[in-house]
Amino acid sequence: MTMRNIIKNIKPDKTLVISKLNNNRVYILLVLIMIIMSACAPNFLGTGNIVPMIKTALLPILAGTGFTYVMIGGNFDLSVGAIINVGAAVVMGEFNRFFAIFGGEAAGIKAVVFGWIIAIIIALAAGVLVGFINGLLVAKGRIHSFIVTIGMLTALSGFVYTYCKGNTISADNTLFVNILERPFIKIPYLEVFTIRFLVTVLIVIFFEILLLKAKWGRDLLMVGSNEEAAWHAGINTQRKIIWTFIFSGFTSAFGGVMFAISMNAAVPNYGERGINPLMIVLASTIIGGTELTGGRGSVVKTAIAVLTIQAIFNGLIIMRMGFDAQVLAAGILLAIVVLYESYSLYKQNLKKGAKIALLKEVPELKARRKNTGL
Amino acid sequence: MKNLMKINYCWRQMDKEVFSVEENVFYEVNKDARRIKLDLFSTIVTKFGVFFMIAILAVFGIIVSPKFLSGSNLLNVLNAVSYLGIVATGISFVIYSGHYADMSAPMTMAITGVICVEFMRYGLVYGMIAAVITGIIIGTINGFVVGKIRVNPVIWTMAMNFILEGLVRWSYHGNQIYPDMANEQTYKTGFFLPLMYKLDPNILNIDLESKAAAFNGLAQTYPLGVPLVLYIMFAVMIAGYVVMSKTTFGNQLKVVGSNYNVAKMSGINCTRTVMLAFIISSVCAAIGGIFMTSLNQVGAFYIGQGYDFQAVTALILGGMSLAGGRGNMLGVFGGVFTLGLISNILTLIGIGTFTQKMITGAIFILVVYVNAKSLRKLGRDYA
Repeated sequence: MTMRNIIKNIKPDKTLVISKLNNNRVYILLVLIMIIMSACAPNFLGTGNIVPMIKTALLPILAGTGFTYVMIGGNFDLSVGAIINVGAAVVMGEFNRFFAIFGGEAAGIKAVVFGWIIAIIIALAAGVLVGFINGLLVAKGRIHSFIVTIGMLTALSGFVYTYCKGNTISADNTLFVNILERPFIKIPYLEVFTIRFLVTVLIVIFFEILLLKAKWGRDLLMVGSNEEAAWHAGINTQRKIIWTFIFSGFTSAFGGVMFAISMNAAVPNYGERGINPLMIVLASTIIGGTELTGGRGSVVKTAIAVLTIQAIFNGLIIMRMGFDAQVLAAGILLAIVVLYESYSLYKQNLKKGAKIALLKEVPELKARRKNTGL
Repeated sequence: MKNLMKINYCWRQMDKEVFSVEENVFYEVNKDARRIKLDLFSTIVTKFGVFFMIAILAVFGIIVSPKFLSGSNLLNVLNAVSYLGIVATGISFVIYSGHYADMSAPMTMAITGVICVEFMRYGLVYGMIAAVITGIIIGTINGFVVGKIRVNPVIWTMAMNFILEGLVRWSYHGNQIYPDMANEQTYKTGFFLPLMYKLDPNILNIDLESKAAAFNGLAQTYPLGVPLVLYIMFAVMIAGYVVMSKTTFGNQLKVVGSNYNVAKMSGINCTRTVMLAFIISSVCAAIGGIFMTSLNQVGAFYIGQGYDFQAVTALILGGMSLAGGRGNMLGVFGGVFTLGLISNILTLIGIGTFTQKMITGAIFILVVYVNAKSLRKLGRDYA
């Protein structure tokens, strides 16, 4: 029998099919929820509902990109929500400052353009700086990422409140405020194509290619699955982890910047009472198949999972369940996903026998006894 | 002299032989552990770090304001952190068992407060019992999921926090519950209020005023001039000390926190131990929640917000290691007291709440960094 025949005769394993389904569960979930919601709620699939739904999903999609990277590296970044607030507040505040420096309304469009460019650069730099500090403390300082980022979260929320002086900041000039949300074509369903949408999609695609096709990304996956092995293989693991945090800071700040510009407002406490962006990002990253311990994940799947969660929220609004039901639904969803993920791991460990150290020792001891005759 | 040298030589030979035979078997033995020099600074930081910090803060406070050392000011500091102290004592058990933190503490406080207000109309004691039972249920769920299925504790307790928040907000439609207010409208929302109304419609006519006054008075009682909450905090901490250091459960918890696999192989019922730790955490949060609700005189979903992070800050300041199995109750008290002192001194200087938040976060990161670094220098911690 040739090799090809052997391969042909192998029956498809049941577990293989299930694992393949599990790998692509986000797509199945999205379709399922779309079907259920459109059956329950009329107008769910209408253009007046789908387009705003995708627009609200853009912020968590962008923040989720960096978060997925951090989680693949085996860490958590709980400061995502705070960095979003920092990006939003800084871009608004700095625009107002530089707009005044360049001459205000009298200087015309020049002041507006330069004001926005400099403000955006400063806001993104702030995000990158925060990410860099996080990464430095985690990788070089060897402190648990959870503790570092939760400390950063507190410090940043204090910073944003002092920066805004507790108020909502809006831009002094509204000339460019709507440009990010202005659709290119006014055809139903194609209204989603705005600058904000395109930039988000481009960033997601870039990070997906970087993760799955480039050497850098494959190295990162190795660092996430086994840091020591990666180090022995000659990868600079600490630098990789610092970069993941920088990406997280960058994407979160970028999301905050675009959110603030399109809303023309930055509030210091966005997401503090109610649905935290962190909650959506965390839930969608786990639904998207990123492993809790790191080493596996995909940016696109995270984005699809964000869409799924937004579809659920949207359906609840249409069914008039209210905002409080959304909070409950988000919590239950996160809990179910975490439980499912951990339960499958628990079952795997039961099969394998979790006492790896003992299993390794026994054959060696037996071999030694045979050799020495003890 | 010659003999000594001989003995030394013999020891070296034996050392070599032992390792040449057993190198492969005990491959995880850390040979460098014996060569670590005891650094004085690191030892002091890991053992008495908090108390040095308290001393520095006290000197700083005396310089800043003459009012600092007065008895009433110190009592105010203690009173302000007593709620945190109760919650932190509970969470210290979770950290001690190596499970990072109980992030569901804020909403546990909120939900137990709400339930206490609901059951308070039968009597204050019933309200407290109902609240503590709720805490036990939440802790059991957390403990079972984390201890048995080994879910990542931070993520699970965060999810639990979101679920509880959703429950409170959903069942009250985002409203608050006042202890002294009850009309027919009040009995339409809530966890058990509609059921109570259904069972006994006469509940509308009970004398709520005096019961609400008793409930609201909990936080305003001053036996011997000291607030009642402070007594409760010290009682909880002493009980926590006894449980953590003097009982079998405490010792088992230490082993579980130091090395989970070793604990499992040495026959400790890890699931039960972890579960108990989470139950203690939730019960302490419930006690804190009752007093917090009594202080605010209103039950709502935002009671206790931020207490998870503050508690973890206090515990890390107090010398608890996130890797588990390190720390004691004296350190917990020190950490809680330090947080109170920092806040007090910053207020005396005249710095606003938001800037205080920023400074606390920065101090937290700095202290954790120094702590982790000195522990690593001593070769005790690889986390």
